Amino acid sequence: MAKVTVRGAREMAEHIQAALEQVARPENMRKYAEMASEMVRLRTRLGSGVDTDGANKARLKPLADSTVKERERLKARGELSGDTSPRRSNLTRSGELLDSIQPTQISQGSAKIGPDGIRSDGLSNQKVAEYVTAQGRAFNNLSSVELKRIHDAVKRDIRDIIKRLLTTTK
Amino acid sequence: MATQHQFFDIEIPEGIDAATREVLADEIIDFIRDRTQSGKSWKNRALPGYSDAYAKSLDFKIAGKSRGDVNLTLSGDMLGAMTLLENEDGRLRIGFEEGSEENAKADGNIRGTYGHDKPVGPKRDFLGITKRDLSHILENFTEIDALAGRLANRATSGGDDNG
Repeated sequence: MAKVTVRGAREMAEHIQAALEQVARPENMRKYAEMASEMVRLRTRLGSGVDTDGANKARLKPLADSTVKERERLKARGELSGDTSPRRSNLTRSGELLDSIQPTQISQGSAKIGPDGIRSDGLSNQKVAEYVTAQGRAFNNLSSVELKRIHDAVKRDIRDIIKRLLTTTK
Repeated sequence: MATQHQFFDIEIPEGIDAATREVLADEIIDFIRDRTQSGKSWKNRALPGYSDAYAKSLDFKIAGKSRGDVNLTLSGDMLGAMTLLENEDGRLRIGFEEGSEENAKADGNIRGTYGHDKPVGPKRDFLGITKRDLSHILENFTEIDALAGRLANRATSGGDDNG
């Protein structure tokens, strides 16, 4: 009778485990969180929000006429961010809210991102984020495509680590 | 003319298992993304430059783009959404989910329509791969690449390895 061993399978499992542990280290989670932060900042500045994680992105609600007029006044005074225009709905006035989006909690295998810090007007970015979300302009979530992009980056890193492990243990 | 579903089919050697074909597709998609972001069409020709209007737009400024860097990347979602659509023995289909916003963007770039019914600008056809480039990928695709890719897919999908 042929002798069957599971040593190969055990080694493969150990490679997967080692790769997962390495990828889940805080320094890697920070990298993915920073990717996610940049996605949220850029996508929102371009004018789209996301209601919940995994949803499609959608154009942010248009601004009220009164808000547009106020933003025109701000622009005339040089107080409107260069990353917006009076009519553009992109959660950008001074730019502080989106500039503050960053990794907020990092640990083994986990990361959170969100607005942080106190603004020049004395408000916290967290409170401003909560306010705009309550007004129907949710943005601090990742769309289905954004989640796919992060997932693909994680997968690539795991693959590269496993390749290195397989190559060095041959 | 309505938005067209954008995808392309690749012939690959028969007899490769499904899980390994999935890894191969990932390599091809990564290659297409990198090539496009280096400014080349699927035929490895320089992508046409951006229009004056687009280069002066607020979107262009927000995304930190430069006229000399034609890379079909604004938010990054279009290239990020490219995916394996069909996985069969001897054939892969790569492209965009039909009806998605990213498919519409890809269609606009590929046909030069950019959201209109007819072409209004140059075509930036990035979706495809030359036989030479495909051969290079296949020749350099080792058993270790296949195994590492399959293990990574398994670790991140939570599903079965059907290879």
